[in-house]
Amino acid sequence: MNINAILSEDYQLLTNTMMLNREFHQVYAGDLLSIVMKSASKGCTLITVISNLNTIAVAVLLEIPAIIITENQTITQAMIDKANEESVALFKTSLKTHEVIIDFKNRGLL
Amino acid sequence: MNNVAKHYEIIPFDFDHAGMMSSDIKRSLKQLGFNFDFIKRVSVACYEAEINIVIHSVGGYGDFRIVDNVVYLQFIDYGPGINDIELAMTPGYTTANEESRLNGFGAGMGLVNIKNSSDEMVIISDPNGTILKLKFFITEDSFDEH
Ligand SMILES: Nc1ncnc2c1ncn2[C@@H]1O[C@H](COP(=O)(O)OP(=O)(O)O)[C@@H](O)[C@H]1O
Ligand SMILES: [Mg+2]
Repeated sequence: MNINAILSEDYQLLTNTMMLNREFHQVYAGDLLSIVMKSASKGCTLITVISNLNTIAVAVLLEIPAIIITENQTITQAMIDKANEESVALFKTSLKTHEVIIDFKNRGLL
Repeated sequence: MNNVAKHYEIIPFDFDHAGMMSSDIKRSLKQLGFNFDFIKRVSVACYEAEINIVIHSVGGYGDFRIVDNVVYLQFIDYGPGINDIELAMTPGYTTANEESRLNGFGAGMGLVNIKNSSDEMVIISDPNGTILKLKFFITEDSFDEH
């Protein structure tokens, strides 16, 4: 699935648009980074409420191309810069994690 | 590959720079042609060990070396040490504080992830500090077939 397909009025893209035509496969949702590292697979979209530089670091380690930060968490400019530098698409949403998954399912992204 | 050797300082409670060592090692291993699975094992173990020094210790350092067919990671911190290593290895056991947990740490799975990701793991710990030595054996499976 193309990352571009994530875009809708519920999701705000914070990084540059260059990453949008990359692909993702499935999603993984989790807030404990150790468990994310154990269980998320390469190429998925990560849905999490954890908003800090380590979220990006974990995505880079796992070759995760897109992150959705839920529940309107504050996202720092340092995170956006890091995501741009590492080519990770970073989205912000006011939806809760389970609502994102339901929305993805409804829109046929899963 | 025997000339690869790098040294990293690890600063306590510096969440912004936590993960620098593992990102850098990931980059080095990629340049050396290792495959995703091998790189993931090394960098996940490295990340967890780095974070442990950041959230549980007064600070320390990490070393990365390749000698013959082994990738070595070695972490040393200056205390307070792990009281009961067996208990610390139990999945879910954590003494992480609120700040760490708000940053996504403290799942109590770090040492287990390190054990599962590495080929050999040795921990020596006392109140003076903790030493964690890890080995990853380089085999044919560490590279993609061509
Ligand atoms: N370098 C260290 N110095 C002191 N204590 C440590 C260190 N590493 C791990 N520990 C102890 O072992 C426990 C389990 O570690 P770990 O499995 O990585 O889980 P977590 O870091 O999520 O708590 C920690 O909560 C802490 O009490
Ligand atoms: Mg840990």
